[in-house]
Amino acid sequence: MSAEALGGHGRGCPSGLDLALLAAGELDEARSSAIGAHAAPCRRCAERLREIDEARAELFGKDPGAIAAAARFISAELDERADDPPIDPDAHFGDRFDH
Amino acid sequence: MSNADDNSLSVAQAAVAGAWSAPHARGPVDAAGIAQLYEKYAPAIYAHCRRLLGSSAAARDAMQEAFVRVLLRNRDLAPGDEALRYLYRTATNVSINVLRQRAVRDRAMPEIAARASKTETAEGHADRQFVRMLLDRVDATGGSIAVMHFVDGMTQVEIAATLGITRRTVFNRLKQLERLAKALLEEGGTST
Repeated sequence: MSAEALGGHGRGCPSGLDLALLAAGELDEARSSAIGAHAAPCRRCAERLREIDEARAELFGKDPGAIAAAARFISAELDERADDPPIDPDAHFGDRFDH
Repeated sequence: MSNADDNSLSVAQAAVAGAWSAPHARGPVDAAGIAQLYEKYAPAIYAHCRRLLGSSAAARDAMQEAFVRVLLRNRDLAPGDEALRYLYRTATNVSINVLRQRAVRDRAMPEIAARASKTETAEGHADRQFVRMLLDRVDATGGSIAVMHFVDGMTQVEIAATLGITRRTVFNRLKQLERLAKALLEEGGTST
């Protein structure tokens, strides 16, 4: 069974993390070129890169103060939780994040 | 984090400098530092969470929670590929938590689940359905491996490095997951 058959990642495609690294400009030139060459004609990878572009537009596009506001929110959370027992970023259960 | 060597003022720095001066100074990650990380990595993290969760609001919450968790643990986080990898992995785990909680809620409130499924977009549905199906039946590590491999396409070596386990363990867990997923699909578990 392939991930592609399950509606997920395509065989031979770079991982979602690799595409995120590409979009953020965090890959070296050789890796960036290789992934970019694959992604351009690949419908699945192009779709993932388009989702990141859309996310950027949604997060930053309309409000010039959006980044500062987000940083303010995160900073306030850091202050509020500074004295809490540390949360393991890898934790799966028993955390304070609830929907 | 220091920007002393960078003569150019980024959008993030300019935004923060103009809009906010906070007393947050317990660690090297100051307001400008947080904004710099957010500007650089939030789009990819948000897109990743939205793909997993299928909801913009839930994805935004999960993304922000990932930033908070990572910065709580690592106040001197500097931009770079390791920072993005750390954020990405944490965002995956936060999203898995949300999916697990949704699964519990959906089982407890089937009528709400039915309405929610009607409004869910088709795009990404298969990913989420598959993840939910597996998360119901595997432990935390198995859930992370399932997302990283089946949804995100990471190799066994990448998963092993990200989770701090051996490649052999990843291999064995993937074999178990594939058998489980195959059995569930044969039972029609993804038809809903």
